[in-house]
Amino acid sequence: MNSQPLSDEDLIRNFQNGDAQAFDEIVARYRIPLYNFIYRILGDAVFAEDLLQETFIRIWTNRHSYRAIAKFSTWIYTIAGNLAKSELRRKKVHRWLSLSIGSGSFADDKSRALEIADEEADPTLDYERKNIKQRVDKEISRLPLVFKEAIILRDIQELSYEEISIILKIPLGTVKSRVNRGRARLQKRLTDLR
Amino acid sequence: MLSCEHFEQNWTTWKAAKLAPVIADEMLAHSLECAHCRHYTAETDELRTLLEHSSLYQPSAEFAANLEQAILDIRRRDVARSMRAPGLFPRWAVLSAGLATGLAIGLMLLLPGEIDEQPNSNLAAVTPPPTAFVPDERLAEQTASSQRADEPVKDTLRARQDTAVSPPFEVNQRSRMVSSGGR
Repeated sequence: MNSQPLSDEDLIRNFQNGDAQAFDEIVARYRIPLYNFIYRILGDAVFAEDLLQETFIRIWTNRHSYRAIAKFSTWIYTIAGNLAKSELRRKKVHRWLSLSIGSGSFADDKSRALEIADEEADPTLDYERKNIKQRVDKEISRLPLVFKEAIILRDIQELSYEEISIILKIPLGTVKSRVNRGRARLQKRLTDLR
Repeated sequence: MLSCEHFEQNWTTWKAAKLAPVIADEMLAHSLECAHCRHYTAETDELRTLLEHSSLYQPSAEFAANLEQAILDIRRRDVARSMRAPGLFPRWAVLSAGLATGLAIGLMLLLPGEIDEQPNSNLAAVTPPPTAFVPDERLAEQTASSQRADEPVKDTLRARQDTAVSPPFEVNQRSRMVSSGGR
């Protein structure tokens, strides 16, 4: 028998009714996309993992506050995004207080996250590809937050404009405009790679 | 006619073939006519290819175990909290209710109990007690029934009636006059 995989909304409903397995499935589905989203906003692997854990804990403790009128993906991304932005503000204040502006950048080796290995990696192309990846990541991390989050959600996480509008709490037109302006900035900075 | 701004905004949805057929046709027509939007399409296609090559990161191997432990800790804390306050209501509500009940009982004990029994008790404060006149009336009745023209008794009666309306100083004066023979 070939059973259809449950939708996110079905899973959270089952979890609300006491099915702990449903929560495990939610974690399995969202662990990597959410981690990438948080990590790209913060640029720090340790903090990103802490916030990822906090996001799932909030889902666990506030499971009954989720209403089926909203898409589950927008709910979970909103929680993760709010946590990441709060952490970013806290880090900015901390950095300003400790007068160490310029440290803790995305490319910092200590704060770098584990990369998922490419299964069909070709050793001859590996070095070049790695360089391109690092460069693209660095340029994304250098974008202003408003463009960065729009680009990550649209072009990397591949969410719809409507979903992004709900997550970022901005009008649809503003989302489209931010995605376009973010892309334009990236294109300009990555000209030499093309 | 579709504007370049609309073309750029709809571009991703168009590429994902999720646009309504009518708008998709307009997009195609616009891209054939407009050099700027053709250039935009080429550039954005390239960028998206680059972004597809961007790294995909994953949390550490300990993440799942750490999350499980954190949730277990929260569940233990919740259980401990429910053990400490077993009941339907929170502890503050029970304490407040107890305090309010105690206060109400205290007030009931302190307030005079006659209030309900004497509904016109407010009048008692302004009217003089009737018992002050009873001996006088009895005395007057006795005087009338005996039909004796006893002067000192009449004077005493008059003096007593006066005391009911006159200040004590005058009463004393008059009673002294009575006792001294009315002079």
